[in-house]
Amino acid sequence: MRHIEPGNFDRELKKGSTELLILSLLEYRDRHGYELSALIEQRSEGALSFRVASFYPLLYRLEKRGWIRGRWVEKAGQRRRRYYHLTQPGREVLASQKRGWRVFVEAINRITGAEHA
Amino acid sequence: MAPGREAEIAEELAGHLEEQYERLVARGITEAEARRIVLEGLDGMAAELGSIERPVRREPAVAGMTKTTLLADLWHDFRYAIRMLKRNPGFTILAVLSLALGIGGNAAMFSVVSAVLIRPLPYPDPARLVRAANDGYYPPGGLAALQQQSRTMEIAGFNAGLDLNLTSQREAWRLEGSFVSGNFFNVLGAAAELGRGFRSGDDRPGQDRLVVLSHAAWQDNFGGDPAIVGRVIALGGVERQVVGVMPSAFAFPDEGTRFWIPLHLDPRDQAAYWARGFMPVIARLRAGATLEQAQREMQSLTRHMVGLFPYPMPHNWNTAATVVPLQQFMTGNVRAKLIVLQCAIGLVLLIACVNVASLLLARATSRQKEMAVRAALGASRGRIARQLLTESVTLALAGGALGIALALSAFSLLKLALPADTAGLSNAHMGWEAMLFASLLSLLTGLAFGLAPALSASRHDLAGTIKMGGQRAAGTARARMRSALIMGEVAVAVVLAVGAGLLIKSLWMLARVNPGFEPEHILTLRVSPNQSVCRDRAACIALFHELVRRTAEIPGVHGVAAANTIPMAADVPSIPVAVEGHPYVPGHTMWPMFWAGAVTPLYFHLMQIPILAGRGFADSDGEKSAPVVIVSAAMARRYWLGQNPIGKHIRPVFEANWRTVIGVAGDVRQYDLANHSPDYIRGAMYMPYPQSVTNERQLPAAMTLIVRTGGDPTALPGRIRGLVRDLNPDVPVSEIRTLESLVDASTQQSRSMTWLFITFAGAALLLAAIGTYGVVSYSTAQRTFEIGMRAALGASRRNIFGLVLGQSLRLAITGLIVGIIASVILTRMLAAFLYGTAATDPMTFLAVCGVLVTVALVAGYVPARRAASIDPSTALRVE
Repeated sequence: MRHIEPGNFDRELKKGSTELLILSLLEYRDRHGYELSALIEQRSEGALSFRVASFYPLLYRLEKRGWIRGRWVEKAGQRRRRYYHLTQPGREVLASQKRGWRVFVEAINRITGAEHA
Repeated sequence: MAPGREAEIAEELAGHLEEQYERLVARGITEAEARRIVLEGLDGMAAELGSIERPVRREPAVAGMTKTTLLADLWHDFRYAIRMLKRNPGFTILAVLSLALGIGGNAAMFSVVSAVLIRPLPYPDPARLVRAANDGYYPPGGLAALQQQSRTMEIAGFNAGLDLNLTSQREAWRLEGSFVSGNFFNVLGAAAELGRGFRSGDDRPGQDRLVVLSHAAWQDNFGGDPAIVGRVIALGGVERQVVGVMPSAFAFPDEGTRFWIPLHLDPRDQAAYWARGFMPVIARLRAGATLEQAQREMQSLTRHMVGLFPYPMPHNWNTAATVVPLQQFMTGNVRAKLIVLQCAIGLVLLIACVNVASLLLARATSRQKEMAVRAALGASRGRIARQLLTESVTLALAGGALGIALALSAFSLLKLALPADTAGLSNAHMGWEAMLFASLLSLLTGLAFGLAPALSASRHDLAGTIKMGGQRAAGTARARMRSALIMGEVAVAVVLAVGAGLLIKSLWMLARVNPGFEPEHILTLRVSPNQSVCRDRAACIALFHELVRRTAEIPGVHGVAAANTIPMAADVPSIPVAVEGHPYVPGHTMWPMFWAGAVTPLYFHLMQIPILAGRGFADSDGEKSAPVVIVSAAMARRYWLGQNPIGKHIRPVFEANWRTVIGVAGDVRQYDLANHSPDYIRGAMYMPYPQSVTNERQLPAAMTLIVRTGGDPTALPGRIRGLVRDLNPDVPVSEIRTLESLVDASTQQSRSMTWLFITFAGAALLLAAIGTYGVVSYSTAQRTFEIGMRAALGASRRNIFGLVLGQSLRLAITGLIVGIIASVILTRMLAAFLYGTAATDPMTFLAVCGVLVTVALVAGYVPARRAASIDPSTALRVE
């Protein structure tokens, strides 16, 4: 995505898409909270950034729904971190949400791009 | 929220904030600004979480439920505390070690104090037992008078230090025992293990051929014979019937007492009844009598007693007679020492606590984020403080556990600092009471040093921390508190160091004392025939003459002598003496008591006691020759100053004939290294053995054989025992030891006490050094920007080095000054244990100043070097 004005994002849209982002970032690797929020911010080139007070409750909600699972990992010489893992139900939700997005984006493109067609 | 959940969330968020903070600072944002940004992110956390984490259902106010939740909370706090402590191993180890020293030391001291000072005497109703004092010694006639006349007390007497031979066994034994009055056991309330104790009337002549044995004597000397009661045994050549055996816990007057025999109270023998055998008196208050009444009565009875003596007593004899509680009397000589040691170890604990508090304060600043997260999660201030206190208490409990382990291993060393025969000392052990004490102390300690940091850290409020000013104020306040704590630590360490220094100097002075004789290569053995053997003086003289002669023939022996006692054997036989030119004034003075030595001619040579004038004894000074004496130099100075003592005369008061002084011997520390002799001994004299007498007008039968050895003395005792057995199989040989070990033992307590103080002071100085290092190092880290600025503005490395070192010195010197003032006031408590050293000895104080400055320099060195090597460009992060 190219640079998008953050203020134009609807709050609900942001929240909904963030869930998808989190699940997808966990698809191939387990990650911890800071890593997730930093990656999102970095890959969106600053468009999406989170305060701790909003990000973590999101994670916990996902965890409560059973889509991700958190566990503590202690590595030598570091403070221990909570890594999150995509569960099987979570994978199914991710797949269906990805499908949903694709359908949605294609629909939007078709409508807005119709002028150029 | 479930208790564990909250802790987990807090930990996770704290970690996130930590990483975020580090990224910001790495990007060049100032620490203060980064902190503000990071903490801002917590706004509204509680609200958001509330919508997700529904609170755990709680039944309203059922007492049991609340308790389990509290316990669950505490358990989680505890596990969290353990994790936090494991994350900072350096801090944890340091803190636990410091606390272990303090708590363990106090637990050990507590065990000793409780065994010796607090535990009551093992007799029924011990508070009603008293002992006469000022001076508290009465002759048998006086004892009888008190017994008949006292209305407030039931009075008993005992005369200890009685050594008698147990013969007609397979082997001859020398046992230590005590004369006691008939009602002695009843007054104490002590019941016999077998048979009975004595009864009133058992001490009348004709009824008194009885004996009560101690448990140890029954086991060791009679093989635990089940038929011991009623058996007739030979003690001191006299046949006595065993009427009872006391239980092993009974040890009056001390642990070494093996038998008790009735006092022989015969009013017809006036000299024995009124002039000899002054003994201590104990009593039990009768029902309804108070201590004050008993004290008044003792004084008036003693006053009236003076008239009963068949000879005039000095008008100032026992005018302040009184009674004191027995427990107090028995522990009097160790009470001061125990108090001093207890205070010292208490100070070590204080320093340890201050150290840990200071370390915790430092960590409080670095854990601000964590605290902020908890507060944002809705934790109350009390909750946060409780978490921190749990950490402190966990730390303290760990320290306590380690301390107990340390104390158990070092406990015996502590006991060595007190006299071996202190009542109750041998029973002192670290039992469950010590564990309980240590646990309580740990709890209190943890709460004490954790409270201030916990309150300080939990005073966190979001708004306040966000404001930069609030942060800095909190930081400075904490820094000031830490500096004050460290100065206090240093002051206390100084006090302990001064104490240790004074004791060291005292010990050194004691070691330089010339005892008046040379103890090297001398073996001593106690050879003690029954006194009855020496009723035939010639036979006794011949016995020892022969023994000395035969022992001298053993290869490896360089010389043999015999003497009635040896220095530092704590045995001071004394007789009243009349001195030529110093007539006795009836009613105004008592006869002076002299230490009376009975020696064979080689004594002075073997002990290397110099003969300063005249001559020593020779074999020609025998039983039939002119009676001669040698006096000590001090005695000659006291009585015949400026005159020639040779040719003067003295005599034991019970003899008619004067003895001529033929020599003056060098002074000997007869009693212990610190003193020549007890106050009531006014001089020392030596008599040749064949001419000697005891207070009972007899030849001393028990003598110590003094053998100078060339090589290895280990085979000697066996051979000498054989020699003695050949001469007379009923003569026991006991107390075999080298003279060196005796002299050594006399400084044992001083050495132990000094070593204890050195340990305490060493620990205190180490802790103070670590504390100073901590504060200086932390403050240097905080001032990185400032230091970088100075360096950029031209300050040299040396300047900066000096700056930081100066801070360390300033802390130390302030503490030093306070400590010196405190020492001047407090070391008075040590005065009784010092020898040849004033409690305000300037050399010691100077030495301690030097030590402390060195410690401060060492403690400040590393931070100073680190500061000096700060690179200005990294220090001055330009925004």
